[in-house]
Amino acid sequence: MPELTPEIERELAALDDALAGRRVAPDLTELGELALTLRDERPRPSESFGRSLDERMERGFSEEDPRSTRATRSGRRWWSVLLSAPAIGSATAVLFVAAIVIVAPSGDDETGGSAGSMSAAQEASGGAAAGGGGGAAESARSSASDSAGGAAAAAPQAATDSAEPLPPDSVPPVPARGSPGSDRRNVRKVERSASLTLAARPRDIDTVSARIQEETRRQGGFVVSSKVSASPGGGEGYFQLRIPTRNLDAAMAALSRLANVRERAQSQQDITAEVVSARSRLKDARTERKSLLRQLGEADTPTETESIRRRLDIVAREIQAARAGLRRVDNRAAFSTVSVTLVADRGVGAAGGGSDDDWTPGDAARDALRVLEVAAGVALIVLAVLLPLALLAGLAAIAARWTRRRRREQALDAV
Amino acid sequence: MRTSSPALDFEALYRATRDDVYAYAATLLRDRAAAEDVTAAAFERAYRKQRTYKAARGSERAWLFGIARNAALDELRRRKRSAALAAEPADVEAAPPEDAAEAALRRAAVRVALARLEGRERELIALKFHAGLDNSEIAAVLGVSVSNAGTQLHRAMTKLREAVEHA
Repeated sequence: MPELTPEIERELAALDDALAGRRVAPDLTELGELALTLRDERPRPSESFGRSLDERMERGFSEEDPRSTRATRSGRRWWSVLLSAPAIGSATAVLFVAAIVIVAPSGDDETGGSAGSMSAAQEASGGAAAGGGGGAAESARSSASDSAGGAAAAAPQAATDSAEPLPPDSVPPVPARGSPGSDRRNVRKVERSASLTLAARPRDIDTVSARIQEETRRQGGFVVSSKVSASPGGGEGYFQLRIPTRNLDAAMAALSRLANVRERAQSQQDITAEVVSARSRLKDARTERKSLLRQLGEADTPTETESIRRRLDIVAREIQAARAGLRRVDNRAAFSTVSVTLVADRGVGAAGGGSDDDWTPGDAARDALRVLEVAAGVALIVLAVLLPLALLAGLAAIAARWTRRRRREQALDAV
Repeated sequence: MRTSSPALDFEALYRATRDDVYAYAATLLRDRAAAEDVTAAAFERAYRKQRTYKAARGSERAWLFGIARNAALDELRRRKRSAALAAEPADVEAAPPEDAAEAALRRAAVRVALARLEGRERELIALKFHAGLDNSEIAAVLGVSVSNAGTQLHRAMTKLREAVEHA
């Protein structure tokens, strides 16, 4: 807008002079009179309204006043929404951080690590298979174990049912004994495997390695292979263990207590069909040997006898191979493979089961540093969430204010 | 009653401006009932927000009339109608019987001309002559520069003078 011209300034000054009762230039007398007329035309409130407003003023415009206007109430609602925006943002940020803390796998909490790496179904069926896996060898297992095994066996059955729904009045076919589709939970064989990643302080690597092997022996298992390297600044270890399946859960729990769990996973596979197949091969070979022995007794000629003997040698080797195969597959069910990876981490606490007596001021300093790191991380996450939210809220407030102002001005145009 | 902020003597401000706020609202809205509602709403809002008043941002009157303007414009948006003040019964005080006939005619012409102005122009007249704000206060209320406010006021007065001549 350009600066006021001298003429405009003069007329505006004349208006002020007239309103103030001062003398106005002769050529602007009419303008001065118009100003006075306008002032005289000023609307005046009625006495009743004046009294009413005075009373409300005396009461401090209390909330319950029936004359609170709708415009005022709507204004308060609007502002209350605006004012609550930061609160909503803060609550969202807190929820977000809480979700991260809950969902993220925790190395300090062994159960938390398990939950992070195992699905609920795996966990349920894994625990169930511990009962059902030894069902063949331990047919007299308790009913509790049986029911658990049944849960494991029911899972694939349920999957089949959902894939091919049967009509209500039809009778489902009874699966053959020992077939993969069978629900004979007592004879089912399940191969289980697990992996575990543990973190320990560099100086604890050797100790934890020894405890891993000790715990393996204590659970009735053995170390298939191991590789451990330790140094003042780091170290690592890798162990391939075979643990009796019936002790797998206890072994995993015991191993998890030796250090901080970084990751834990379990898997299982139904190998009943392979067991049944191996048994069938053994049974067939034995039946053939009986038959050959009978034929040998009835052989009349030396040539016939020699032929049957050669055949018997072959069948004997087949029986031996079938027995070995059955043992292998039985072993797969009886023993679980556990892979343990041990890593060095300065930030973790003392190895599980260790004494607190060797906790040094250096450890305290490291722990304090770790706490500060975590606190800074949390603060950073909160900031990362709050900053964009605050920015968005600020922009929204500015946009809302601008929009409202614009709408108000438009209302003025419509008068 | 709530104690006033040390920076703002709300009761004194109320006593000094009650009729001014009403006059401004009535001129802008041309509806006495709506003007009463807006006046009450303006003081209620101002009372609740009195602690937010910052002397550095402008005078108390400018701050109050900024609130009153918002309330008036909200009322305009809400009602979507405006009953012409000129159509209402004449204010007895505004036309004392001893006035000369010529003055009465002039008042009537001014009233008609004022009603013919656009809302923004009528608002400027209301702020200047009915609410008694100076140009800097008008600029603060409208959110424009003082020179801009002066220019707009001059333009509104020019238009009003023309309308009076033709009335």
